[in-house]
Order: sequence, then C-alpha cells, then structure tokens
Amino acid sequence: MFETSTLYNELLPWFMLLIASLGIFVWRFLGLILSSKIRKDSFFAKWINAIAFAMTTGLMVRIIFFPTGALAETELLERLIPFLLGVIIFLFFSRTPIIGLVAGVLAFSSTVIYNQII
Amino acid sequence: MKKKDSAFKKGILTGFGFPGIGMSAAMFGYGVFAGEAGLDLFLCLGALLILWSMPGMVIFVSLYTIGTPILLLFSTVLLANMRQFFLVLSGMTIINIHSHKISFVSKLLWAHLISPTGWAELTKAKDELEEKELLTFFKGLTLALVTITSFTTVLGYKLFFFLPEDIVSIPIFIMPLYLTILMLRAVEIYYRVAVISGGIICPLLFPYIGDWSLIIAGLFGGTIGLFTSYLVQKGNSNV
Repeated sequence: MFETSTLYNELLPWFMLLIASLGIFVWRFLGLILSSKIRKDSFFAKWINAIAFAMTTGLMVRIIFFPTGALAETELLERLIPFLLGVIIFLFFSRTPIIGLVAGVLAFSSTVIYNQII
Repeated sequence: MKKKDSAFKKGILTGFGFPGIGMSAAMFGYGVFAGEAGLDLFLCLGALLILWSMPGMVIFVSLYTIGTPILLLFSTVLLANMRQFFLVLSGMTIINIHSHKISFVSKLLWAHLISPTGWAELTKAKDELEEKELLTFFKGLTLALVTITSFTTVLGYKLFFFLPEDIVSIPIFIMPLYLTILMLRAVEIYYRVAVISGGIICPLLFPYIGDWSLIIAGLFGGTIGLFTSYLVQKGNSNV
C-alpha cells in the first residue's frame, strides 16, 4: 500500500506535465496537419505568416510592458526606454542590427547596475 | 552533401549566437522561477523539453505547485498556447515539411520544436537558403537551442538562490528586443505593418483580456498588414 502511494506521488507530477503538454500538442498537431493543405506562395499562407509576425511582436512588446519574473522587478521606464532606444538605433543602422541590440541591452544593463549600486 | 552540412552548421551557429543567448536567458529566468517554486530539477527540465513553450512552462509550474485540478491545468495551457497553431502552420509551410520524405512522427517532432525564436530565424533563413535546406538548418538550430536552453535552465535552477533578481533581468531583456528587431527586418510591407500593428494592439488589450490579446493582436495585425499591402498594390496598378 505504501509503495503504491509512493509510486503515485512520484508519477503524479509527470502525469500533470503530460496533461499540460496535450494542451499545446493539440495546436501543434492542427498546425502540422493544416500546413499540408496550404501552398507556400498563396494569399492564405501570407496571411498566416503576417499573423505570426504580429503575434510574435505583440508577445515581445507585452513582455516589456507587462513582464513576469525577474524582469518585473524593474520599472516600466527602465525597460521601455532602452527597448525603444534599441529599436530606433536599429532603424538608423538597419544593415547592422547588432548595433541596435547592443545599444538597447547596454542601456538596460547600465540602468540596472546603476540601481544596484545606489 | 556539403550544402546540407553547411545549412546544418549555419543552424548550429545561429542557435549558439544571439537567438540562443536571448532564448537561454529567458530559460535561465524560468529555471530561477521553477527553483523558487520548489519544482524537482528533472521535472523542471522535463517541462522545458516536453512543453517547449514559455507560457506553457510558466503556467505548468504556477498551477502545478498550487495543486490545480487537471482539467483547469489542461484548459489554461490550451487557451494560452493558441499562438502555437499559427507559428507551426507558418513554420511548417516555410520549411515545406510535407515535401520531405520523413515520417509523420518526425514531422510532429519538428512541429513541436517550433518556438517564436526558431520561427523568427526560419523567416530570416528562408531568404538566405534554398527551400530544401531549411529543414536541415532548422535541425541544427533546434539542436543548438535545446542544448543551450537546457544548460541555462539548470544553471538558473541552481543559481536562483545567489543572484539578485535585478541582475537576472539583464539577460532576459535580450530576447524581446532581439526578436522585435528581427521582426522589423521583414522586407515585405504587409509584414512590417503586421509587426507594428501587433506591437501596438497586444499591450493595449492585455490589461482587459489577458492572453486573448495575443490572438486578437495577431489576427488584427496580420489582417491589417495584408489589407495595406492590397491597397498599396491597387494604388500602384491604378498609377
């Protein structure tokens, strides 16, 4: 009896993980199945790609405005200003995107380190 | 054969470059989060590989640790991950996965491993590589991403006790900036309009409708983008 309950306790988290994974698997499975019906250069494919572009950017901007975890410990302006700085610098030097990225990350880390020091 | 090798190598190098750094920074944060929540290390790593979706992982850790009923766990993960459908549909179409002679299980595996970072790198690589090389590129990219993120997840899990949260936030900041810049590199006007619209709509709606804001931003942003492209094309043909 004891062994059964130990086994149950050990397997329960993995069972829960399996259930959670099914929630994601459904979408991936549907995406894979439907991708066989779509021509790459069709209007529908362009629309799906545009949706994915909009969603990915939306998700990234949302992380800046409404972060969770460690990023949430910083102030909104401390995240937003370096983020916009990085994007604006990228728009000026779009051939070398690394400049915008480095500028944004440097600006953010300077603020964080400055806050740690004072 | 050499071409295949170079696409694979390019994938590996891309994965270990900025995309990998950005994604692994986020996973470092996830490791810290899972460590704080008291999750077992193997379960933490298992969730990374089995779910391979940041919202899914965060929801799993949050709900599992408070003992949520199974049905609620399933439905929350399901609703928060609808974006996977569009990413997989788009990513698999870009790779043209059905033109490759691989088993359905293999196709499912590659579909499973699509992430916003992986998908974004695919959209970039499609202009640099031939279509048939994209799957090989994606294999290399994924191998690198899985390796580096597994490592940093464990690192975050082990180090959460020592590091101040402010400092942890620095690597986490890389991913949103990197992916936004990557999205803005899109050449086609409808993608650019979609990127800007999505970036504006999502944070505006998020306080009111939560995770649904992402789906609405995607649908509206993508449609606005395509409609703009239609108007521009119509304008050009009238001239």
